[in-house]
Amino acid sequence: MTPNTHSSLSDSLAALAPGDRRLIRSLFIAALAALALGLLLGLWVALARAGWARPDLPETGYRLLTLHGVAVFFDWLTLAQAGLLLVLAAQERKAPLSLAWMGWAGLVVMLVAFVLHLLGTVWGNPLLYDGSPELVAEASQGALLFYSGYGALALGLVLLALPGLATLVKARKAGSGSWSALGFGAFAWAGLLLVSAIALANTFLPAILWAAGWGGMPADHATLWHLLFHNMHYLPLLGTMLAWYLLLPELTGARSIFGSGFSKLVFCLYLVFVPPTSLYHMFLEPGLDPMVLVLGSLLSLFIGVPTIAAFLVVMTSLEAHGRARGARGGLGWLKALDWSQTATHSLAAAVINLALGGVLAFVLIQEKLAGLLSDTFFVPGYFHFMTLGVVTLSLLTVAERIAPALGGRGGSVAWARYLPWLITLGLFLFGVAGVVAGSQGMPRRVLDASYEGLAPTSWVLLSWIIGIGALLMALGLGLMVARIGAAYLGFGPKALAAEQPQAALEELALKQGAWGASLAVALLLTLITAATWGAFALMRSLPVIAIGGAGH
Amino acid sequence: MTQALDSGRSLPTRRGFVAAASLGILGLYGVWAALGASGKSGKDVSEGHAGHGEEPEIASSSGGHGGHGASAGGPSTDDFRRLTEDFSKRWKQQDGSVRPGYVPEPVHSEPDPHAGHDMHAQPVQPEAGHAGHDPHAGHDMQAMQALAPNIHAGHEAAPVDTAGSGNEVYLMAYQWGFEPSWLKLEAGKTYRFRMMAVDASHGASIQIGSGSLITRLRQGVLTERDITFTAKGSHLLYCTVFCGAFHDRMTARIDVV
Repeated sequence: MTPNTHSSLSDSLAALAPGDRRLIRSLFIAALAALALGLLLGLWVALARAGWARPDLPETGYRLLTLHGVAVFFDWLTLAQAGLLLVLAAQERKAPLSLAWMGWAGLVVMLVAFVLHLLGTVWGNPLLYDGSPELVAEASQGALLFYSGYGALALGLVLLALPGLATLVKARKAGSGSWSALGFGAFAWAGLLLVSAIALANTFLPAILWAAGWGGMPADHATLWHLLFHNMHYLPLLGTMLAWYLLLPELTGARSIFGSGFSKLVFCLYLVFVPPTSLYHMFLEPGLDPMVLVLGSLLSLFIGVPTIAAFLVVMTSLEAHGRARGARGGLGWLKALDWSQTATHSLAAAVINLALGGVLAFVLIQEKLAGLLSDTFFVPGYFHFMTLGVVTLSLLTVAERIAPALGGRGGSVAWARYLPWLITLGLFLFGVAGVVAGSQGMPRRVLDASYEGLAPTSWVLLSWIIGIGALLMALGLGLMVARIGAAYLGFGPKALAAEQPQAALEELALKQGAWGASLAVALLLTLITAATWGAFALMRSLPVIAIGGAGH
Repeated sequence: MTQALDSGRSLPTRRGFVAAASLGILGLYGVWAALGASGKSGKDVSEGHAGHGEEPEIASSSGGHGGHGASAGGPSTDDFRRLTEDFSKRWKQQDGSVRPGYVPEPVHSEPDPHAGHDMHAQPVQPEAGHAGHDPHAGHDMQAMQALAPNIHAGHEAAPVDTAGSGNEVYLMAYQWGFEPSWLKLEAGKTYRFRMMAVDASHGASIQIGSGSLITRLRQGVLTERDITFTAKGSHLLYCTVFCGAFHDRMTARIDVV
């Protein structure tokens, strides 16, 4: 018999110094502000594409698109992940944080980074978030400010990761010399954060020097960006899995029935598989050797292994516990979850979005399909499922869950339970219309996809659906951010003391025929196969034969 | 070892089962293989075509540079600009389009099926004055026309003539347009597209049917693709790599006749 021995998240946060709690609270407030800003800018861009908003100058529109990408992808995700890392470290150590001052310094540097990005975007040419020096044409003050924003971001990332790492190391020393699965995962993740900081510096330091007039124009910026971007967007996926591991016992009482060692192995797989799988971002680059293309596709398949494993661990454990506690029937264990909690709805929506995004992701990584889908709206159509529907919803769930323990409020309100589903509905419209439009060739990163009437008429209709989807997403996400932000600022209903759910007996759980997650994975693989087949069928139906793409 | 650890567990709660199920994603490689997309085929987009049972036979594939007739480094952006201008001048038609390999009969021209629909006018002989600037000077125009294979839709693609005749298309991408901005190409004929972005990275993507053919061009890098349009139609050519404020105005037109 294994009783439920985990300490609650609230207890761990209560063990922090008051300044530590203020730090985590400040990180999440800054993160929510960045998300709110990025959300508004993203909505405007979607409305512009639908023809419902138009900038006076085209530069204005692309500046807003630039800031949307920077605010959401870099500022929101970095700050929220930094907050999550400290929460994980606190959960492991159950004592004050180490090097907390570095966290404060990191927060200040992140704010400086944001201001630099803002000024650089307003004063310089709109570069979008990859900041290609080619578009600057010649060194300028605006470009220097913009690139310096990334330099500051790299420094901020280091400063924000170090307190988490130091706290986790102390926790290991103070404990039995080993980490829990969650502590180990957090340590690995923090290491990947540092690698991302190095990749950031590696990409943008040459650009900073060039913009300052101290070096030549960086010739390999595009390649370095691909490497950076690859790390930066898998980082939150590992963070999301850790968030699920963290929240699972909090919400359900269940914990992994696969043992700590197995979970550690799964987390390690991210470290093993993420760095070498970046080739698929470069499939469209001219002059790549065909063998690199094949290798890139093959390696990309491996990136799905740890995420599927983590999904199976979490969901099978959940189902097994539910069944061990008496749930019957195919979906009885799902019905038995505590659906009065907003967090349960958010995580359920995140799981659905992970499936939808996963199906599309594995279509995109096939090198033969790159010439059909890359650089089109298929890409944002797919990645919003992941960055918003999975990662952002999961990080917001953590933020919401810990708000009361950080001195904020955050009492439950019934209407908040509908928000994750409103967001998912918006995402579905945005994503499906975007994927269809992308399959037809509608490009991403344009403000007007009608091409003055030269584009297929379907692009206009699909842009409207994308706009409606963006509106619904923005409404749901905006309300969610406002509610959580208000809780952090001390507004809203008071939270009642959370009741700790009871765990089932692990021995009993292990004997359950918990097939739900396995069947879901089987369904996922079937859908991926069908989507891949469909994409190939579409490609082969086109009245064109094209060979090559060699660059000289 | 794993078996010992997992004894007494139901199948889905065994570590080995989870590991195997996670590795199931690698089975997608088998799907790719079944779709003919797992190997080093050298063909990328739209490798096949409905109704064309046979694979096209093209003189060179994407991987190698040999046989392209270009130096290993390719031309400079200035050289490419000149090559493109010469190409446009050589094949420019009276209606403003550029139709490589097409020299109309002096007296009688085949009626254009699109006449009256799409502002196509009868093409004319390229201006004689351009011959002096032509990099291909010395090539007899009629002889070059004879070199161009007359392949119609439904037939398999023919080997590309790399001698610089009407089987080559030079396409220059710049902020914010394409040169030439209006191409007329023959259905069923294989053209070697020689493309370069001369000022910043661009895309040279073609919306065609219910999909598209996406090409990414890097500044100063000559990119070559052998493209065969297998049906008539008018297609939008557009940039798919963000290139500045007027990125979404960067378009051209390809009519397949």
